[in-house]
Amino acid sequence: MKAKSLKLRWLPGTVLVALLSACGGGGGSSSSSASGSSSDATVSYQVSLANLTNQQPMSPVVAIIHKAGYTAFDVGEAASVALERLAEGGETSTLVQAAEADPNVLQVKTISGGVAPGTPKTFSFTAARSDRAELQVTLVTMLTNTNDGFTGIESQNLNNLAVGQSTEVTTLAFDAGTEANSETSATVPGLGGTGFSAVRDDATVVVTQHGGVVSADDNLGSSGLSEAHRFDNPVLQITVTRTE
Amino acid sequence: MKSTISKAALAVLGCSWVVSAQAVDFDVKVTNLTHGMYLSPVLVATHPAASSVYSLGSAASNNMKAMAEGGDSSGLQTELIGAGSDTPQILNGTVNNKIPPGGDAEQLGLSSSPGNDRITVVTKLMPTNDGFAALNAIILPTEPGRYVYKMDAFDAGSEANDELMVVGGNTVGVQGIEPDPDITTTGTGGTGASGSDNNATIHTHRGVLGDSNSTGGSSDLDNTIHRWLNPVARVIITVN
Repeated sequence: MKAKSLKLRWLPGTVLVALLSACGGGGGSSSSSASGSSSDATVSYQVSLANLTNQQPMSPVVAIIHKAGYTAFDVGEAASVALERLAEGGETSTLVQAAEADPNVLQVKTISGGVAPGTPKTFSFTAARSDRAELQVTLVTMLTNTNDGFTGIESQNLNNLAVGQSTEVTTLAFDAGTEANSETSATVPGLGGTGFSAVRDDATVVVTQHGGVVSADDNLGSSGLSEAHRFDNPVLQITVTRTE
Repeated sequence: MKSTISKAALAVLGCSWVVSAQAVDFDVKVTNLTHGMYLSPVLVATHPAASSVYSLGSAASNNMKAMAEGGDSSGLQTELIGAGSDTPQILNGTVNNKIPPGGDAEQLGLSSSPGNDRITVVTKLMPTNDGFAALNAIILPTEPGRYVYKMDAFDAGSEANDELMVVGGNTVGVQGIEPDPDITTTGTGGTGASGSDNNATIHTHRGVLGDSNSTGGSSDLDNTIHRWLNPVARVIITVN
């Protein structure tokens, strides 16, 4: 019997929060259990989301727990209509349906109410221990005071987290490439404007990083946004803690 | 397992002689993350530690000015070869060799010579007056794996950021931004977004201003298209 592995693998931005933790402590409530109630059969994670912008409330969040092979978005690729609906209007249902139909997806969570600046949100999920080595999480949410801005993480590996360990990731703002960044009140859902529109009229028609908003205070007279809506990277902090 | 541990430990201790002794076979992929900037053909070279092509906070060399103002890497290539680099590589994008927003360029099967343990990646942001993105003589990883780096935008400090379209603007010493048939989102008739840089050394780019008037205003760039937030590009080095 030799020691399993002494090599600690660090993800970029990973912070080891706690190495020592009582096994199976009374952490989050793990409700999902298929066959038996043995805690050995499952692994559980708690996810905390902190909106780092000044005034970009984030839409309801879709979190997809999956294995390799599922992709919600990729820089340089055209957005799916499901992603477009989320990025332009904060709509989650199409993306949820598409993910649930994917054979590589294990479960999909919707965090309703979104994530407001200054008000962190927490959710948790449980997966079969037999899937642990392949576990990835993808998470997306709209920056609601933009035309088609969103943020999230794509296929983040969770397989190296021990019980009690956390990993912390900060995210970049993306542009879905599906709607021109006009910033008008009529097209920004956070200002009461239209959310999803099937028209694709962006200058760049693939997913890229977002260039930020200009705002009326910076001489874009037609913008319904003010300087308070401006943002810079990173826009969201995601902390994943393995609780079981 | 034992050798893995000791190598990792040595890397932590900074024993660079351990890694510099070996040749490295690797692939490089550069992705343009911006929404409205193109990247000029990307210069990639592995070289000795002592031969970085620029320093933050120092004035740009003529070769760096040619790169940042004109997207011309020939001077830097000569400079690097003279410093003992491996043959510099040029990664061309899909739009007349430029990498469009969201696009990428990849070079497989590169190899560094023993001793060339640093890698430099440089590209010009187009259209800007003298904006570039770079990895400046970073340590080339040696352990097989996939390494992801983010490139921020820098300003060469050598040309005023007037954001005006001028034929010949992509020439060192010629003020302005070269009109480019591949980049159709630019305007004309601006009066000049900015005067000379206050910081005449290489510094973090403050971003472009742009305006909402395609035939006038202060800038020939569009403020809803050409602005960016860092990072502007992603580099993936895969060590084989």
